[in-house]
Amino acid sequence: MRYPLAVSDDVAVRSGHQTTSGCSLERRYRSPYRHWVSGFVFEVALFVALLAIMALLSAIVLRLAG
Amino acid sequence: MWVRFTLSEARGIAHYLGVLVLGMAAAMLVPLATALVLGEWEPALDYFVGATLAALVGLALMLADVTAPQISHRQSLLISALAWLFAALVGAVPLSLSGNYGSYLDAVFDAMSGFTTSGLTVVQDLDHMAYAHNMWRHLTHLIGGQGIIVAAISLAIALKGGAFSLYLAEGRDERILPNVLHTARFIWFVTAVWVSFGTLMLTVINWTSGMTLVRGALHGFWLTIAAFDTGGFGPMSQNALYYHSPYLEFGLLVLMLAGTFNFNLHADLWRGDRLEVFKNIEAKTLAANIAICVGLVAISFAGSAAFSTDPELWRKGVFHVISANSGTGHQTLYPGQWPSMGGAAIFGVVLAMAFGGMISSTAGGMKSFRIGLIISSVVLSVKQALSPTSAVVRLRFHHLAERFITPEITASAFTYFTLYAVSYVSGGVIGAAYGYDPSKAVFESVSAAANVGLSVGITGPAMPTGLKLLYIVQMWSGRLEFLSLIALVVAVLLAFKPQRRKLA
Repeated sequence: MRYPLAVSDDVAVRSGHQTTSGCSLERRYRSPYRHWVSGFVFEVALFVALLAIMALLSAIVLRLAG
Repeated sequence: MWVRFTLSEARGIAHYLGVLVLGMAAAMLVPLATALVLGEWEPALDYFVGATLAALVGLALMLADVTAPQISHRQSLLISALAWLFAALVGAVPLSLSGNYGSYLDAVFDAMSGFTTSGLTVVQDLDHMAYAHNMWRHLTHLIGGQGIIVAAISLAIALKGGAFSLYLAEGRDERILPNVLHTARFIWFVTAVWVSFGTLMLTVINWTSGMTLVRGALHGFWLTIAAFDTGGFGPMSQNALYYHSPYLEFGLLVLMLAGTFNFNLHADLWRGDRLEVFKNIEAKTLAANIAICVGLVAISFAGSAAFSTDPELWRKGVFHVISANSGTGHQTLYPGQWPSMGGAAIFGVVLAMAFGGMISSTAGGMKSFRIGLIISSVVLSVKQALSPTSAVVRLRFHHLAERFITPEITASAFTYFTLYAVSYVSGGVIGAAYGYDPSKAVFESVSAAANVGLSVGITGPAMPTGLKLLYIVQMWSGRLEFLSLIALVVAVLLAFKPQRRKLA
């Protein structure tokens, strides 16, 4: 069940339903601080990987177009 | 029926604006301290005057209603819209005293650009600007990037009066944690981690490149703030080009990507929910958008004499696409070099600027979430057209949770898409009416309205006053995603509308 207004979130929390922001309450109550170091390292690796893919993609397109 | 604001509601708005202006006065103590520590006495006086004036204005506004009343949702829309204007007006005072701006309006332009994390600038002789003034310019990115309201909420200011309504009115869409105060504090925690990492990384790069440790650290801190908060200011007039360092540019790219990430996604990854980023419609749309724009740039560079090597493709092409898509505006080109990139490359950069980064991040533009939803709704329409008339066709998407495309979601995405498109085009038309090349006028208009800050050379101290005012409004409205500003305009119009007398 979804609540129509964001201000109803507290009602939704108490009754154990999904909130207007769409994420499950169980997830929202899991602390984002618990794995922040590994999460941060993952983010750095993710961005470096994305940049590497973009560099590779652009180099391939450059050669195909050139 | 349109309901006009009562005097009591207006006084409530003034009270909370006063609180926020008082917060600005407190923030000015940072550049004041910088000036005192580094022995910059004239800038210290500028910030003493600026902070005193802000404190007096803030207190005067607060006295409009000393009871600190509970505020409604519609009041929060006006507070949010006016908070950004007051921040720019007050924040411009020490800048205008610096001697680096031709007029107070120029200082307001830079302050609005700073707070809205745009990065367009009309500063003069930036290379010789005092450290304290550079500290303040970049601090405006930090305050504005996190959100002026978020900054206030995280310090437990304005909590009495409906903090969540204020949070929504500022263009933030979602709560990360059940409590809005905890959400605001988490946003600052993520920022603190990334800014610490970025400052350390860029300080080492600057130091090993030959800068003194203090100068390298200050430049590292400012560039980190500008990249992570997707602002784009730089302490030198050549922006990122000044450093001539591929390592620094790579570091900036990582920080810009981190800044364009939805704080909800940061939270999910930091909770250990790593698969979310691969399922999320917003992340997938952003990656696809970057890939398409990078492809366009590469095609353009293939036919270019100036940028046809791999390092040039990386340092001029990929860099500017990500700078544009994240809404940052860091630049490694002179404005006059843009035409030599080729038409397809410029189109790719404009597309990246227009679409922008993720919602609930520091990025501007239409936002990849809405672009993803619009594409999904088109797919849904095609599916429905090809299905039997009795079939019920639904389309699922993933954004923090599994959801279905609904007419309400699609309508909302199209509304924001239209508002941004109208702003981009109208700004371009007005720029062209001032005599600028239409393609350049559209580039600059998109850059202002999407809070990017890349410039092909129109923005500068010699720009017509009308265009300066236009870009100020575009930066302001783009940052607030239009709704708060439209509400402010309607409220002002209603205030001047004559009231009908009821017949007895």
